[in-house]
Amino acid sequence: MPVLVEDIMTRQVISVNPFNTVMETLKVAKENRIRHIPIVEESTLKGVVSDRDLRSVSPSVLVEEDMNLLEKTLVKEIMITNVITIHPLDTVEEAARLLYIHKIGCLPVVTGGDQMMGIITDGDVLASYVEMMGILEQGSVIQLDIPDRPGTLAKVLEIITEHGVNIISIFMPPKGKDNKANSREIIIRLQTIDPSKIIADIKELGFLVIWPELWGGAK
Amino acid sequence: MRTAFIYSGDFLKYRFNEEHPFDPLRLHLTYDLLMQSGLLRDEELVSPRSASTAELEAVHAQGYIDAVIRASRGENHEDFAQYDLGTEDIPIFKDMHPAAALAVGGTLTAAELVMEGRARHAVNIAGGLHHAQKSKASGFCIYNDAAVAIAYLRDKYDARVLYLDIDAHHGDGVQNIFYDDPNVLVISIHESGHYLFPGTGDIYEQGSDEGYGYTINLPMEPYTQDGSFVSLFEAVVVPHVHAFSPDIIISQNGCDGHHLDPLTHLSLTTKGYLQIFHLIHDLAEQLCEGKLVALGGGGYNTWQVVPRVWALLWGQLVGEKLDGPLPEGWIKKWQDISGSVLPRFYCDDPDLVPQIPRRKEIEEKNQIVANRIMRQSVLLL
Repeated sequence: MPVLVEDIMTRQVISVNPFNTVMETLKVAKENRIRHIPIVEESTLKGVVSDRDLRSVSPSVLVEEDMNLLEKTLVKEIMITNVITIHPLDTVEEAARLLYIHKIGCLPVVTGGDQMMGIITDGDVLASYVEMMGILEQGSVIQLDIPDRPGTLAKVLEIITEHGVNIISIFMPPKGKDNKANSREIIIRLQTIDPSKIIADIKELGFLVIWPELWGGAK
Repeated sequence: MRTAFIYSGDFLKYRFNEEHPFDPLRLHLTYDLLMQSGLLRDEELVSPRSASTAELEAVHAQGYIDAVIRASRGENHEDFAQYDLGTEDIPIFKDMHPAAALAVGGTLTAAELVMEGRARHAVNIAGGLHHAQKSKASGFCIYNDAAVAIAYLRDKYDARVLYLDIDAHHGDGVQNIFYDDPNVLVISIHESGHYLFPGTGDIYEQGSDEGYGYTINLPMEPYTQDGSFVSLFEAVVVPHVHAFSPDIIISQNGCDGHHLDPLTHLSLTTKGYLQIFHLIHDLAEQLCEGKLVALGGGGYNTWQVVPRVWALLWGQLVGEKLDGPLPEGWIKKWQDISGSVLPRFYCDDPDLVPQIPRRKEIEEKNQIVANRIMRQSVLLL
C-alpha cells in the first residue's frame, strides 16, 4: 500500500526553465496534456505555473491582439514563486490534506527546501485511494456497527478466525464528530463466498450488521 | 433427440463435506423431480465423459491441475495454499480431481452433442462452476467447466461463443479467461459486487485488447426483483446478443438470485426465472439454430428452490409448461429428510413475493446502470 509521497510521485517531471517564454511553456503544457508545470533551473525549483495562469495571460481568441507578447514574455515573470511543496517522506495523507486545504492541483516534491525530486498531483492521490479501497482479491464485504469499547473489534476478529476465513482488508474510519451513538463502523472484506455463518455469529454477539441486510428487511 | 440431460450418480461425489453449503444433493433432487414428473425420458439421459488433463490445460495452469491431483490423492503439500486449496470455501476432499473433471466432462459432452447436431439443446446441471480461475480454486469451484468447454468449442469448431451468466454472483473466472478474446462474448448479470462475492463485475470491466467490448457486466442492486431484472435483461442483453450473433450459447443458470437463497440479496422468484429461461431459449432459436448448452451454477437453497427452478429450465427447453403442483411422490419421498417445508407447486405463490421498501430507488439505480452500459457499448456501434 502506498504510504509515502515517494511511493506514488512522478519522478520524470516535465518542467521548463525560468527563461523559457510563456508561448513555449504553453506548448509544453498542451503537448504533454498537463495542467501544472514546475519552473526549474539546474534541479532547483524556482516556481510553478498552472494552465489557469497561462490562460489568464493569453490573449482572447475573440480579439486580435499581438501574439508577440506571448513570445516576448518570460515564464519567470508570471510564475508563482511562493510554492507549496512536499517532502518525499511525507505521507500520502499529508499530500491529500495540503491539496484539499489550499485548493491546489499539484505539489512539487523537494528535498533541501528547493531541490526537485518529483511531482504529485490530485489525480495521483485519488488513484492511490481508489487502489487502497479497491478490489484486488475475490471476497465478500460485511459492514458492521460495533460498540466503541476496547476489545470489540477483537471479538469480531475472533469469530472470523474461528471460521478459518482469511481477511483481505479492514477499513475502520475514525469516529465522526456527529456520532453520539458510541459506536463504530467497520468494513471487512473476507476471502469467502459464504459469510453467512460469520454474520450469524456476529449478530449473536448483539452487533449490528448494517448492509445490505437492512435494505430489504430481515431475510 | 431434441434435448439432452447429462447426468450421472457420480456427480454427487463433488462434495466438500457435510456442512458445506455447496450440496450436490440438489442435483439428485432435480433429477428425481424430473423423473417423477415424467418430464425427463430415458432416451434424453446421457452419461457424462470425464475431461482429460490436456483438455483442462486449455484454461488451467499445469501446476494448479497437478496440485488438485495431489490433493485428490490425500497428500498434503505446502504449495496448496497458493492455489487456494484447503480453504473454508474449497476444502480438500478425497478424489476431488475425478469429481471435478467429471463436472467439466459433462459440459464437454453437452457441447459435443449440440455441435454435432445430436441434440438441439443439452443441459448439465453439475456445470456452471464459473469462479474457478486459471491457477486457483475459488468460490466452491475447482475447474471451470464452462471455460474449458468454450476453449474446446473455439479450438475444435472455431465457433463464436456467447457465454451468458445469470448466477447472482459475477462470473469472474470465465470473464478473466476470455478477457482479450473477441470471439467469446461474456455477459454476466448479477448482484452488484459492492458487498457480494467476488466483488468484481462492474460495468467498466469491458474486456481488453482485441477483446475490448466483448465483456459485458450488468451489476444489479441488492433486493432487485423480477420486473427490473427481466426488463434490463431484455433491454441490454438481448440487443448485444443479436449484434454479436453467436454460433452457440452457453448459459450458466445459477438460481441463487431467488429470494429464498441464503447467500445473496437478490429477490427473484420463479416468475422471473421462467421469463429469463424463455428469453435465452428464444435467442438460441433465433440466432443459432437452437444450439444451447445450459449449465447449473449457484443455488444454496437445496430443498425449496434449486430443484424447482432447474425443472423450470428443463420444462422451457422441452416445451412443457409447468404451472401445476409438484409430484406427490417427490414431496413424500423428501419431506422428512429435508427438515424444511417443501413447496407444493413449481411456481412461487405471487402473494408471497417479498415487499422491498426501497424498490423504486433500486429500480431507478438499475435503470441508470443499464443506460450507462448502452452508452459505452462498443458492440452496438
